[in-house]
Amino acid sequence: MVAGDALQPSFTATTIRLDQGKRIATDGPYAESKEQLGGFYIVDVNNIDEATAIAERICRLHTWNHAVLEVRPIMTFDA
Amino acid sequence: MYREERSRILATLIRWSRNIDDAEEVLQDAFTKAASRWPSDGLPNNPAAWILEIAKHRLVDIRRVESRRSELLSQLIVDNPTPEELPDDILRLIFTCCHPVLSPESQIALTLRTLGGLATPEIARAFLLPEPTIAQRIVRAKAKISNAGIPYRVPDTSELPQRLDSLLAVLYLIFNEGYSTLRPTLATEAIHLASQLNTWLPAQAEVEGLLALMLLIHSRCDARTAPDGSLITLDQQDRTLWHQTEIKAGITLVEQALKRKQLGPYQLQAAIAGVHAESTDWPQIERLYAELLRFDNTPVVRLNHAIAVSYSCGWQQGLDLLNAIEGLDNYHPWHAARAQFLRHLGRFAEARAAFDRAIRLAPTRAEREYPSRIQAPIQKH
Repeated sequence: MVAGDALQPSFTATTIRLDQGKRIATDGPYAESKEQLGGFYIVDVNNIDEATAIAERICRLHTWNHAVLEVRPIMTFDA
Repeated sequence: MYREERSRILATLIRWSRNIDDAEEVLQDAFTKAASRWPSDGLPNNPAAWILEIAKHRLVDIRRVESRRSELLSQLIVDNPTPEELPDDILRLIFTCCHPVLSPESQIALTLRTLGGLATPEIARAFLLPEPTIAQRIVRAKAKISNAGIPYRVPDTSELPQRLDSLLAVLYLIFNEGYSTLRPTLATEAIHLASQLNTWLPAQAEVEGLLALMLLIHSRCDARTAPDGSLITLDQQDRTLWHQTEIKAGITLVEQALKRKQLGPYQLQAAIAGVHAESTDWPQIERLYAELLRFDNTPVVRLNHAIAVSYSCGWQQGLDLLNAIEGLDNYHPWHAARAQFLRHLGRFAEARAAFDRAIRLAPTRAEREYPSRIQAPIQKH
């Protein structure tokens, strides 16, 4: 085993994409059925604003293939 | 006292508790206590402070019980309360409720619940939706706020314009839902929230613009329907029924906003509504719509621009612009406008077909009856 994590439920998800250079955030997971998952990033941030800001920057780096990023918190388990 | 202060106190309690449910619960407890104490003890000097104090104690109690269960929860109350922070708290609350990562429906329900103080059944009634639907939206929204880590804060200057856009959109959606469906609670609630926002976040041109727009539209609420419920167009309305105080307030606000030189779509729409309120000057309205298209190049704005062009330049120019708009085939005002233009151009058969289409698509009775009424003249041909 190399890596793994539990994600929080899908209602915590937010989808980030660019529309004419503007960031669009939508509630819910990425709905497109084809090529659902192309890769993932794990980031350590304080809140969803910081996470979506990073997602936006990643989208801007991927303008040629219109990247859509789903932001989802990782499950934390209290001791 | 209840309505005015409730959301402010709630906002502060949410900051202390980091939890909307707990804050609502202790606030409810405090109001219950007030209801039993105040009639015999008399009203305290500062009722809001009294409520806040009682609610705070209750919050500490809850936290103590919880902390016995888990050491981890012992230090959740972190900030020291000062009354000066109240306006900030209410801004934190409205920006959190209208956070763009929540669905628009959830933003609306949560805003009406926490800031408007509307109960879930009232919101359900206003939107003609089953109560469990609204309840679920609110529960989901709260769960996302805590699980996805939506921060309880006012956005900083760099994010403010974008976040404010989404907040104003929520207020305008609430207003339109109320206004277009003749359900006054929502329209007046939206005006109330926008005017509060204008005091919490002063000197913002688009906040002033939105408030002005709502007031100017609302000023015509008594004049826009006939006794039988059918819609009356602007040019046919009895102007003596327009609320002059709202018109004056709206025009003053939009003029003040325009002086700030931060032009935006709400100010432009308010300016358009203001011109209509004074005397409909179509060339000026056409210029304002052309300006609005720079911010908001959507089919509906293009439709309104085409109507303004038809009145200021001619029916054929209007029709050309109208025909160039794509995506409004299921939008009844597009067909109604097209029918109107075709009728003026003497193309009656096409006009009739467009009227029929408009009537079939109109969602409310008042809107259905409007095209049928103006259709009457062409049926004689």
